[in-house]
Amino acid sequence: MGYSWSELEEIFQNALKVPSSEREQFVINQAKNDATLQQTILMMLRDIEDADKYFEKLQEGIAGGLEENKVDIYQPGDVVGKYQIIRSLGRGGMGQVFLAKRNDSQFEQEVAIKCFAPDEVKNNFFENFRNEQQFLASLNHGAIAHILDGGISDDRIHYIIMEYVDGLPIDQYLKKHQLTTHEKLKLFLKIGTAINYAHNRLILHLDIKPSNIYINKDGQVKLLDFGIAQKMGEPLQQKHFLASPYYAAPEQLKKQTVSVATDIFQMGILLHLILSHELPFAKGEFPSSSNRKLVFAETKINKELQSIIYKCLQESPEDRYVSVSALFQDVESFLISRPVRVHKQNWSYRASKFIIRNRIKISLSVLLVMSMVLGIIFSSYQAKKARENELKVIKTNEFLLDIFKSADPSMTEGNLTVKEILDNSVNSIESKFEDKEFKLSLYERLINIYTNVYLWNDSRILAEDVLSRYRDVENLSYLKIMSTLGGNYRELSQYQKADSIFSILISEIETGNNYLSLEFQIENILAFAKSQQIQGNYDTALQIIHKAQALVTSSASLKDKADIYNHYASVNKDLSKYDSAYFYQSKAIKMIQAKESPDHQIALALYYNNQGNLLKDMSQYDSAIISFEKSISLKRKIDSKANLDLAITLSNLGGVYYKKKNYDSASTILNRAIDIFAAQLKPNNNFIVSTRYSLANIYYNQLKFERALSEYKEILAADTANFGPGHPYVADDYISIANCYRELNETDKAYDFLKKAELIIEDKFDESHQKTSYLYNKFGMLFEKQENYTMAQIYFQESFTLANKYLGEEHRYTKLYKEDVERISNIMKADIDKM
Amino acid sequence: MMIKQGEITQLLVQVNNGDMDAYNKIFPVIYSELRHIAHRIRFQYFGIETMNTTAIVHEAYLKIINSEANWNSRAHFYGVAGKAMRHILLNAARRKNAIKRGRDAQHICFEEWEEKINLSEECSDELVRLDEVLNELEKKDSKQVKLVECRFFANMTIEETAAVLDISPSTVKRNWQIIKAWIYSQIQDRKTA
Repeated sequence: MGYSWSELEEIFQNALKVPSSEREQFVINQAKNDATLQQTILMMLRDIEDADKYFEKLQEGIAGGLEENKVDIYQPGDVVGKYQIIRSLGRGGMGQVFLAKRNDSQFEQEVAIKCFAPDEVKNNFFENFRNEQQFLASLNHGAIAHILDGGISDDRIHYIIMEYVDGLPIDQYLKKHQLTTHEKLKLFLKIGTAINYAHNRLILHLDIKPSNIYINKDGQVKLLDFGIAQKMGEPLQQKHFLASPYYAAPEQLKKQTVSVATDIFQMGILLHLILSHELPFAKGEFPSSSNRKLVFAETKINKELQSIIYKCLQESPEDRYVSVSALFQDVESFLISRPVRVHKQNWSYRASKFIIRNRIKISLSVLLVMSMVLGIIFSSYQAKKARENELKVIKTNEFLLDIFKSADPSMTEGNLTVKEILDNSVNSIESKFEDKEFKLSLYERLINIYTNVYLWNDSRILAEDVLSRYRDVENLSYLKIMSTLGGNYRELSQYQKADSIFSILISEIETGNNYLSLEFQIENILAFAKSQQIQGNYDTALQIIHKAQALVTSSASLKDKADIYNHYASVNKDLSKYDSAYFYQSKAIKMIQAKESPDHQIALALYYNNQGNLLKDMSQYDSAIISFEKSISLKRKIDSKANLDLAITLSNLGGVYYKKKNYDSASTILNRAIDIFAAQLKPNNNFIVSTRYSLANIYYNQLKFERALSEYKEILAADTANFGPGHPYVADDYISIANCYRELNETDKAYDFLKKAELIIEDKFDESHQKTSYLYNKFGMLFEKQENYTMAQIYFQESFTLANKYLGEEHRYTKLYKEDVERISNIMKADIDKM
Repeated sequence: MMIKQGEITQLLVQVNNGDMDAYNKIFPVIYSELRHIAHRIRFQYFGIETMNTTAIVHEAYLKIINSEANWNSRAHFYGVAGKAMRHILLNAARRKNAIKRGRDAQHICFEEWEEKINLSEECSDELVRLDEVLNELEKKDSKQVKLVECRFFANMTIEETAAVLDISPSTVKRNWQIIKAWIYSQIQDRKTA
């Protein structure tokens, strides 16, 4: 039988402790009675590394034997439906995938065909694929790979045909491209945006993992397999894992109900993976529902980001982020260096608080939806009962909108933002109601609310989605949503889109649909004109207003007619044709001056306000003050309480005094506005904040930079709380703070703040937006301050180029930026001359 | 074969204490799970992408043990699953070799899964050889064989192996290195012989 194991073990161990040159002799001495043992140990010592390799290779061979399925389902040239197989793209988690192209020569379209093993597909997803397709086709998002078709082939192979993404899965992409944390987070946000988009349509992914996230050759993110797991999931849950065990959420492992929180969990794993190239679990650890221990790559991931991931990876779904947007808030906060909310919390404390918080969230959103639903029910009831009561119906709805509008965003005390309430409402509408027209009218209101709280982008996304899904419901609500969307595109500086929407509306109007009220028609024609006006297409704008004018018949209301003149005035003002502008504005005013009805009085107050602005531009400050005063006194008459309208006019009035360099009066008026609001509203209310902003501007112009700075900082805190860290208002605040720091000669700080602003502006707007050129101008000023004239010139030039391109050379900003370019050129010339 | 949920843990502990009756009792349960999963892998279905023995064993564990099982029973399960895996792979390897030699494989195994395990000839040869060496090792020190089953066939971590064998992780680490070197030397012997 020879040597014992313990003998072998002892000699081998000791030999390892001896210097390698003496090992052989040592072994020979130790095992001198057993030649076999001698030889064995010497061999072992010699081949330690080969032994390791041997086992690795063996394991590889075993794995290969277990997973190899050598038969391809299709061969190149095979035809599946309209498509011809080109080659196998590999075997993914769900089956074999092929690259194919269209068989008829109609289109040059490459697609990916995903095939499933037939005996594994037990539900009727594929049989009913045509029905399901509508569900999948509703995912119309640039970052989600389209599903084109699917079904069962003649040879019983279950397949899905989808957009072919030529690129790399995200993990491989990240290994190839060295990204900064910031860039990685941006990428993560892009992925999350697509997921959020799907969530808003009640579609879950449930299998978020690197191999389902591709970055294509243009650097665009594409998510694969959206909704597939959800659709195929239910019956399969008995037998199989829904997701890869590595990425599965506890509730998937336990076969419990999946939800948005399931995707959040997987996003947490993804975030960890993106940041560190590692899974957030102990090495060698395998995911099971109760035993999975979280181990973060602590050295590779920032602490704050760790707490974000930690919150995603909570065992219990209700302890995770409630939505992708909630997760986003924290990631965005990190991106712009704000302390992350979750990081500050003590976790055990937070856990106990969570239920309470959650309940508040639910009740608030329910409240909102309830009030909207009440409005709808009331209005449809009214509409049915008496058509002549239509005005009342509209009033009811407006009333409900007003409730919301005047609701102070800070009322929610940070538990949830307005945006969160609204996002929740979207989900509620989709899940709670059946009737399409009814849903559409709810959406119409919701979209309006988004717009009214300046969440243009959210309003836009929802409107686009609703319009694409409710194409078959052509009613007034549908057109009203279009109208709102057009207005939003305008606010977001997407003028081409705005124009195309208004064109459709106008052609709708011109076909003579009799259910469109004249008021609606004129309103939209004028909106189209406004869009053209903002783009500087003044002639077109005037032509469009002519169209509205042509519609005016004897049945048109005075207010509509006056509105048309009001728009004429506005365009002329922009054309610096002040006399014409003044003529039209006065005409508008005269038309309704004598009218006592509230509608007319409201319009009149607006026209006086516009007249004031016009006179301000005409540098007739004293007359402007008179107009503003008229507007203010009307507004006071209409509503003895201060409201938003009054605030606007007061701040305009303050602006005139500011122009007159009468800073004392300006600040008195602005303070008065603040006082009025402070009596009714909470300090963080946006009305107050924006007026304070004007005040801060005054301090700035009075060269009281320290004071302005501290004001701006408080405004920043308020704006961030009200609108979230990524809002354009926050960017404005950053720029103002940067300006103060620049003037205080703290240029490094100034630079940091401009950078923060840049982050937001880059994210929210493209280069055509005036904020982009404005920001570049501020960079230029900063560099000029630092006497870095070369950089200053670059930025000033870019700022001017953009403004010239998008705002037009006549725009006053363009002119200002041009002056900067000229000034810096002169400075540089002077410098050269000196040399 | 009906085994109650709670009984599994008990059986696993017994198997790890060397009770072969318990092994015979629990083997079919584990085997059927492992087989089922491997069968599924053949179709590359749902999820698991780079499937290897580790993943199979882990997943089988998840199927068999309910989610509340404690860490100890998990470790015990791996120990038993490692043994089962060794048997399954050996059968598949023998079948492959039998076919290669043109012999009827009837006496070995007809299990569906093993037919579908498609080991290369080289790998089959190595597995058969490994099994012979492990049988030699069994005679010298059966505890070391168990370590191989855990560490290699069930792909357990050092810590998990230590828990099953009730020794320290550093001992596992040290022993595993010696065993690997020894097995390799024996296999080289057999190849040259």
